[in-house]
Amino acid sequence: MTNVVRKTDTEEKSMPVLRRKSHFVSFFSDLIRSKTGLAGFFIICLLFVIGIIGFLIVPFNPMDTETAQKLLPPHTEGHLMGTDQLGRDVFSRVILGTRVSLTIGIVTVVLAGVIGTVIGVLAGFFRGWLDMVLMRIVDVQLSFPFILLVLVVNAVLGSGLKNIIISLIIAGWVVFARVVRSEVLAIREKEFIIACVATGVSGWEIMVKHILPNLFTPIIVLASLQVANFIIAEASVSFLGFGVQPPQPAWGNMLNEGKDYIFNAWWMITFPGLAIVITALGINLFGDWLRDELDHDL
Amino acid sequence: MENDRVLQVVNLKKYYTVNDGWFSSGQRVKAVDDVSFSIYKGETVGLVGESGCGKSTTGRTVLQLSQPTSGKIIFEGTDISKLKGQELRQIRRRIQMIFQDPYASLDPHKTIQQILTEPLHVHHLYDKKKRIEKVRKMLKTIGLTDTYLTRYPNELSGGQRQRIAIARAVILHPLLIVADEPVSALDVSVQAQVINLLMHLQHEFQLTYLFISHDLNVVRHITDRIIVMYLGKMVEAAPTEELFRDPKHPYTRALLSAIPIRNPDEHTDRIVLNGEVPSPVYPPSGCPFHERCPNAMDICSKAAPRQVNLSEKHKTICHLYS
Repeated sequence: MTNVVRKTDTEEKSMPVLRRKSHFVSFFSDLIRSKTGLAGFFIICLLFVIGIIGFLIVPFNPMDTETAQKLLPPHTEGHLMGTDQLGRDVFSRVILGTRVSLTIGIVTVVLAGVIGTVIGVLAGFFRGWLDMVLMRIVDVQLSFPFILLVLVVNAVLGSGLKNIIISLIIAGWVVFARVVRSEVLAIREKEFIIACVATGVSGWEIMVKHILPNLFTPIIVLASLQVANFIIAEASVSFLGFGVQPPQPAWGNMLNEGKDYIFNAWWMITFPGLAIVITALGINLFGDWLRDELDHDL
Repeated sequence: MENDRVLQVVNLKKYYTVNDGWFSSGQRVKAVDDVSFSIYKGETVGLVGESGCGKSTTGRTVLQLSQPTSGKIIFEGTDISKLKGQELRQIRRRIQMIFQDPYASLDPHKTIQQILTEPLHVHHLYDKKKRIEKVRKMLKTIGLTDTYLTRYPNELSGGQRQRIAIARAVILHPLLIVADEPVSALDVSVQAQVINLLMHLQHEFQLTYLFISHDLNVVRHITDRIIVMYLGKMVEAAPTEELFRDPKHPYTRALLSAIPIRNPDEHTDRIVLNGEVPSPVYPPSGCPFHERCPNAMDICSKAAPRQVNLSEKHKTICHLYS
């Protein structure tokens, strides 16, 4: 007995356990060290600020048409980014479009993520016929081009913000289901899960208490990257005339309206296009960094 | 003696089907083929053999972590190989397992307190306060302090992790613990500490061990009896002292002669086996060891040998003694 205890003491002295930094602090100290991650983080913060308080800082009402002022180039009469074919301020419209894009990106990712995760966990954990059925549905859906599927669903449901969100969720949950299922297949073979079975933990508890927490990292990473995909998809659908309808400003339908004037009013298509690029870039930069960060944390 | 029997494994078989192609009908791998043994209260039984000989599979099948193809696993008088669901989970309280790799066997997202409380929680033992008290006591027993309660496994060393894994198994006061290579992933210096801890716990909680290992020095130190396996079959079973003093089966002899010795001047008659362990998909006819056996006779390739009882406790499965 004494022998055991004494040896342990020496082990403890020779092997000091590192004081744990809080997750929050270490997360940000790592973020500051990464240039790209930090850039992405700042872009996302900026977009959120614009999305939330954008309506306070717009110089013009984005819905106000004034045909006398149509197609003004940037930097004339207080129009920072010029005006469109109906004389509406492009800057104000881009600013307000931010809220539409962010809302769509975040709401669809959260809902598609939850649905996809639940289905992926069930398929991966129970295997058998349930897995067969669910994954064949996923396969069928994945064989359609994503945008086409969104368009078809949107055409059936009708346009509008709510319906574009629903169609993006219907088309987008499969990616989550696939990734989550394959992660579950890997995790359920790990020894700590087998140890749970040996302890007598029930299947349900293993799923909720042990598999789900270990899925957190891959889901967060996938979600962060999917936000950008969904925002681009919404813009594409709106560009094609579905989705968010004018006069409500969204980056996609601004591109759609601007394409007819591309040769005499470049600003109409450039600024909303830039907004999409910067958003997607920022989210992807941050998502990539997040993947690396969470990866080596374990 | 009969009353002290904790576990009786009878003709245990575990076959896996391998699908190595679209058109091939599945080949069967006989991972464990007709193994029988008993374990009595308070003893430590070693299960040794090369990797791939089926010793881990035997251990996992005893715990019902994989279903046996056939055979009985009688634990405290009931055949647990037929149990399912709630009944099986009740039995799990009495049989626990320690895994080889302490880096894989602890959930990285749970604190030490959560890991150690879970078994008590699952089996509805004690109330919340009492559970934490229990966990603290257990930590002290395994030689760690209370400060570890809030830590995560990745903040612990391999030896410390394995102590936690051992504590998780012991906290339910099981009757039998299957230890699957519990020290082979650890440093030699830490190995000794963990072995000592296991022996100390056995004494304190009257545990019975099924100790699976390929390290004969460790096995010699900790076990009372040894079962030697080769290619899914049992080849010899004997009390530890007797097995090391007087091994009967040619495979056991070869195995023992391969133990490294400390003194380079010391002379040993090393028996070097020819070839490699045959594929368990295509095991040799007759005795599975005959292709490599230095004492092989004509009969060995034709008929499978039967178990020979050399004494009450010393058994071997070899044609040399029949």
